[in-house]
Amino acid sequence: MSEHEQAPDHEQLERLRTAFAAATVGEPNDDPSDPSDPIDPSDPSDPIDPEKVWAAARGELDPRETAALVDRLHRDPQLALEWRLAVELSDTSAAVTPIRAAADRRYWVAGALALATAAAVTVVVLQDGGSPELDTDTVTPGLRGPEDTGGEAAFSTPIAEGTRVALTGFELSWSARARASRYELQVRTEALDLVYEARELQAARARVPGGVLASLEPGRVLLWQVTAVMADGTRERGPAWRVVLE
Amino acid sequence: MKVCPPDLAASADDIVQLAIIRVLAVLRARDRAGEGVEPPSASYLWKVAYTTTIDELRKMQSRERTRDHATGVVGPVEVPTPDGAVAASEVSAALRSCLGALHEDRRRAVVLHLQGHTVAETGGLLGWTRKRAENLIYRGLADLRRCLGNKGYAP
Repeated sequence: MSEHEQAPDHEQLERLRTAFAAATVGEPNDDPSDPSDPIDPSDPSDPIDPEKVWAAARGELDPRETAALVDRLHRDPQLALEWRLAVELSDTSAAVTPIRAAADRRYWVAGALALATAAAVTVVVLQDGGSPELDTDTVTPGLRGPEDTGGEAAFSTPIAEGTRVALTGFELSWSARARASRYELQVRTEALDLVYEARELQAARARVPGGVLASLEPGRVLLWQVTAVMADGTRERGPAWRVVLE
Repeated sequence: MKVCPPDLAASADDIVQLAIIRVLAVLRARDRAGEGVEPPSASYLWKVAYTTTIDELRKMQSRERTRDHATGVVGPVEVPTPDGAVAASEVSAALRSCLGALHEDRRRAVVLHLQGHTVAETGGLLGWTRKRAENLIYRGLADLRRCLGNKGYAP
């Protein structure tokens, strides 16, 4: 084996891996002298099924199909990122005790939640090492445990849960946060489709315009959630509340 | 945070929460369809967790790109210095260019190794023996170092 065919040392390999992972998704190839290998900005019209990426990264795909995906990895930073997520998550899954069969549905739903939570939290972001507090009976986006709010009372709203609101538009309000420089509001259906979003709210209230509700029918439940953005860039998210269209 | 891209770090919480909720929605749909008598397998739940996370990641990236393109707003993330960003971008471009020039099987082997797979895993994924995978990775890495050296980069 020649000098060039010796295995690289660990640090060298890590530097190469870091450089490989450093490409920004959608980053163009700015080098006009090297048009042979442009970065594929992952054409959104041609997304690869995540299940296929998952199967490939776990060795569950036919090698020829895997090779076809691998051929795209170095040109497609988005796919490379999703592949690495699959590898990380797969490694995590192997380290977690599988869910036991149980007659008690509450048991396995709770187990499923814990597993899914561990998966997402471990792979995407691991901030405090604690397990989110989950209520399996009332599933809302406010799934995390209480945050450190610096002694300030928790987010609240004068709008009662399940309040019926007009299809022609409605007002939402919440308790102001002392250090907030602005608020972000998201309104979603129960299927979590985004209905309305406002990101630059200066006051602790907002009006959801009727125009964004036009395609929804009376009786639909909407979830709404506010995030306070502090001057230092930190964020505090409130729980998800519900209103019902009438 | 191991693999979350820096430009999405501020949104990671949102991705996690939405992914969890979608897992629950899948479970409830199974229940309504009468498929919930037996607990779902762990592998099924991991797959659901992954696919829902990717789904949310794609949506969030799309929204972020649209918003930033429309407003020029940059999120509250650590932005590298211009010189550092340019240097990293150049290295990344050189690396990808060199990978593109590798022999097909060597490129596949090296790319999977750079993605974090071991020699044995790389062989398993592509249907090769361990020895073949090892040879292709080492020879591919040698080609890669040579190419990067020619471009003025020492890995």
